[in-house]
Amino acid sequence: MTAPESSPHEMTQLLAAWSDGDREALDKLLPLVEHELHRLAHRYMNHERDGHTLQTTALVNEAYLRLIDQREMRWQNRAHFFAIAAQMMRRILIDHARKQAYAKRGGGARKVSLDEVDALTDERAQELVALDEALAGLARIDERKSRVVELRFFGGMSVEETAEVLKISTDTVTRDWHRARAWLHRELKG
Amino acid sequence: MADMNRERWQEVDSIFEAALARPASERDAFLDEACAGDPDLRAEVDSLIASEATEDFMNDPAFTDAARVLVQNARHSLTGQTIGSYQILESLGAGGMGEVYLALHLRTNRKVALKLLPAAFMNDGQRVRRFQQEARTVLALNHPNIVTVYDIEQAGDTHLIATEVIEGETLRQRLSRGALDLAEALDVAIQIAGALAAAHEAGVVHRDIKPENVMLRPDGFVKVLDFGLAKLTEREQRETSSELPTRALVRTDAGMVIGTANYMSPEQARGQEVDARTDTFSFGIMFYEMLTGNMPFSGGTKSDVMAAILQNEPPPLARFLPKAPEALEWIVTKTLAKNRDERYQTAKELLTDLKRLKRRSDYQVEAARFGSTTSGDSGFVAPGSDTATNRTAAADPPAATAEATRTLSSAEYVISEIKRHKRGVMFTVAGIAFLVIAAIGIVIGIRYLRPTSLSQATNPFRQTKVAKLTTTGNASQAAISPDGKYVVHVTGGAGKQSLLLRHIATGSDKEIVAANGNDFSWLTFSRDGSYVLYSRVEAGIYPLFQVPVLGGTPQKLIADDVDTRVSFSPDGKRFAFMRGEPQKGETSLILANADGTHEQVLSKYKVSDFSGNWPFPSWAPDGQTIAVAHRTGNDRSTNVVTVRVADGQEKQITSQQWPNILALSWLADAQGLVITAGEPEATYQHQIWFVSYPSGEARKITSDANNYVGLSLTEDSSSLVTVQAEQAPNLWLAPNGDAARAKQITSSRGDGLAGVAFTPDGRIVYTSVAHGSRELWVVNTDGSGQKQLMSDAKAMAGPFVSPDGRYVVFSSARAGAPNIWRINIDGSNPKQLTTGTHDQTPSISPDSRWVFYTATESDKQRLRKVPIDGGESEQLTDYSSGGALVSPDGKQIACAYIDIAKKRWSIGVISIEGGPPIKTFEISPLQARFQWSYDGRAVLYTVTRDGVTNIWSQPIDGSPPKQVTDFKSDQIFRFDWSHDGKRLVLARGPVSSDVVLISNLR
Repeated sequence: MTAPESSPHEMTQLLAAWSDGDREALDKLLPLVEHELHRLAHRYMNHERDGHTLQTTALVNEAYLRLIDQREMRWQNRAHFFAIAAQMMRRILIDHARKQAYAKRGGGARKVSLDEVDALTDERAQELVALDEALAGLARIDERKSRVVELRFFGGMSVEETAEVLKISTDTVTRDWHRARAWLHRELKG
Repeated sequence: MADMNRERWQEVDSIFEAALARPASERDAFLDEACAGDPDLRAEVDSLIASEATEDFMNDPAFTDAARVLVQNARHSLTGQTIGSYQILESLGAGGMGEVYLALHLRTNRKVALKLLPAAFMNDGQRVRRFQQEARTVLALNHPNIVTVYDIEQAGDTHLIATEVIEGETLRQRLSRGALDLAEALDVAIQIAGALAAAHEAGVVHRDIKPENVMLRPDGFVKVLDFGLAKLTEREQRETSSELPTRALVRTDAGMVIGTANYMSPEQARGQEVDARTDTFSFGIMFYEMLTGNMPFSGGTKSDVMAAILQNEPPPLARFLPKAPEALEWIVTKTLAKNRDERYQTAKELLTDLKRLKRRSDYQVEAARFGSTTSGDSGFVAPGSDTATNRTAAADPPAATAEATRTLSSAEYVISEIKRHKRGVMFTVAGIAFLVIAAIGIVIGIRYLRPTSLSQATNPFRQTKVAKLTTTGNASQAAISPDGKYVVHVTGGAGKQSLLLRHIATGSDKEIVAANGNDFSWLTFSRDGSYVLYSRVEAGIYPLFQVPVLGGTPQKLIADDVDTRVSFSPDGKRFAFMRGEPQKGETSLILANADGTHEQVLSKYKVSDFSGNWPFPSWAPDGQTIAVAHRTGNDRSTNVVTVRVADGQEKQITSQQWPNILALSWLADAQGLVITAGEPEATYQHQIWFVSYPSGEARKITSDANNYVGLSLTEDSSSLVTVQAEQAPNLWLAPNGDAARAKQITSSRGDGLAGVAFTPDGRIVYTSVAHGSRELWVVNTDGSGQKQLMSDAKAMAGPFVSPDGRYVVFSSARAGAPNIWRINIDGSNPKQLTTGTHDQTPSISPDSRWVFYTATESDKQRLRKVPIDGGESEQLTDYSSGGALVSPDGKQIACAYIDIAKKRWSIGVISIEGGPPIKTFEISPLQARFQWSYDGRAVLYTVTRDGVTNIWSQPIDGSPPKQVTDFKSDQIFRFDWSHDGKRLVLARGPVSSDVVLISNLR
């Protein structure tokens, strides 16, 4: 229950600073967003009894509504917040998947406790790690497409939300998504 | 392609994009042109186009995974923190509600399972108080199947619930590996039902019964979690949905995984008030899932599931479990009734049915564990149970398959002096006595005794296992082969019996002797295991047969009567058995060669030496003695004695006494004997005992709810088979004897088994064994006003109410020997009316002045009468007779007597002054109970056919008998008509017997 505390006003300022190009603002934002996501996940868990019914969009939406002072909000802030959240979700997920895949290979004893069904199957964990690596490869040659994938696949965003964050058209998002997907698929299977 | 650079990718990508923009049919032509001269480029784009067509790739977005990971991480985020009085050690996962941590109570250092309830759940003060009150109630129950709550605490905005730490897995986890087998499912279900019953009785409803709330410990204990906790969330969830804008989205998502809706009751689905019966429904869903691995009500969405719960009938269990016992289906159906009025009204009833089913089902349980997990059983019921003629394993001449007569009703005191055929019926009578004894059961609780002071050498029964071999309810007798691989048993109702050989390992049955209308008794294997020996009635004679173990032509070994099971000498060359000699009032212990020749009488006994016992011989392993059980002493208790083969000299080997002993058998190492013996409380329950030799110490092997009759051991004494016989009548009231209008008015099981009688003012006096011993009770005809009249009447039987309504008379051994007693109608002022050695079956003359009864001396059974106010008694008959009932006009007596000419018991009518029968009827009192009709024109008697008893009427004028009642199921054990002849009260219920294997004896 020790957590960085911040006011919505502070969060909003940081977000604004970051969207204005302040890289340090992001370093401050990330732990706040992460904490808020965890806190929300915690609450969802209590209501739903398990994580299956969680929807990241709902989670992120709620985090956003709670973290950001709506009166100070600029419409772009929301998109930026979503981008941060998507990045965060990807990081949390892949960290977990890596640990799981590592443990699976004999790197450590994994504790299986009461009623704890792993969030990921081993197969899924491996697939996600591979996908993350492939996505990093895509980012090196085509950053926009990699961000489309990150926002949509890891951030759970709609085509419209993705378009808003990346400031591109929805058609472009759709076309990028298809081509990035094909590229990733070929990387992984080929 | 990892070496691809940005520029090359842009080239590839633009052609790829352009290709995708074209119809598939035009792509080849386009690419031929666009990639002309660059085959690598073409290959690159081709491979991307191929990949693009892969539809299912990345269709499952990772954000749901991420969300789950977040939740899991959140669970671990508290580790090491201190909340309230607790330090969080590790996450145990998400329990029924909220997350659960292993935590340390800082003051006591006790490890607890700590549940954190977010403030949102607890913001209704009244609700919290009610929850806390319930938690304290549950805490006070201290039930082994309810998780113990230590503490409820508030820390900031979080409420903490500390409970005992339970190792093991949830039932949900167990179910993820598939259905449970029947025995396992029943065991778990019984423990859950036990928890529910205890909580419900304390007024606490669980409200959220589901597999996540049931923990299975490795030691077999089941713990139900979170009693009453769901109450906290009932309203809160609605508040949450309005508070959170995204909530609705989550709720309406068609793809969402169904949560607790799966275990919802119809009333919960409708949003109605819940009560204890709600838990029963949820239990039923869970039980169904345990048994089949499938949900009884399913659907793709929460609302589909709820619709199914409200409207659909679950698929029959038989679809998944073709061999499911009918009773199981019955129980499940009753728990899942949509209308809660049609469900089990209490979890206790459910528990009782489950326990009974468990006893009837195949089970393999280590005795000690079984005992510890099912103690506290206090009744049994017969849901959809089979009916069968009641029989015992050891003691069952066919003539005795139905019921003891009124004459012979007081089971263990029955005496007869003439054999059942040829010269009489002695063994039949004794057999009937056993039937009654065996049949009258009450459940005291399954509790295998802990080892007592007996040494290890003489205490070989620590790891006993019990397994039911049959579940038909009509397997009546059994013997196990010397090698323990086969069990031969009798199956089928009277007149339809056949002999089956069960291969224990595979469970397969083979018929080795077919039914031919004649019934079997006295099964045993030859010493080498190659033959089965048995007695089978033929024209009133009980010859001994042997048949090859795998079937073949039976061979008659002894043409004369063989009235007990034969017991082989250690070398297998001779066997011992008993034969009644009724004309002499004697019974002989006879030795014969294994081929049936060269009979030799070893010793002779009076009939009364065995009354109530089968004189079941067992040849000792050293060959020197034969053990038998018979009565010694004036109180008619029974002991085990040895008879020396050389000279017939007897020696008592134990000081322990029993009301009766049904069967006995030496252990192979001569360290003792195993016996089945009646319970000292005379509840008619029989348990299996071990009697150490030569010390004579006696100790129970079984001490449970069942009634064990018969006994057969393997050669090495490692296993035995017995028969578990159950009989559990309740009182029913039938207006004018109309079966269709019959109503059950008591439910204690065992009610009226030893007698039922109307009072002149229309109440019903009856015997009850509901409290562990025989008692006398009274009840109104509508079931109200149940009241105990007398409790301390040992072996009470045959209550008869005086026509003037002042007294009840009955037989009881409350002062030593069984005698006739009188009490006031309110149960006060007990007075002993007779002082004979064995007096029973009292009845009272219409003028309420005389008590008629059956008096038994060493080898005689006679009718006598004594004034109701006490005084000298008079003998009325000088031939074997009993069970006198005076006609309504006071001029005649109906009684059972032995028709010497026909060599069997009949019912006769004699003068009120006594003397020989004036009229006789072809009714066997061994198979029937009888009574005068209220107008005195007929004798009413019971007839049992195919396991169903009905009452018939035999007019005194000799015209043909007529059937009076038309019941389609169950047996009638006792009946009485109201004094106005308008109402019939019946002690009526199902009967069953099954073969049980008890192994790991040594």
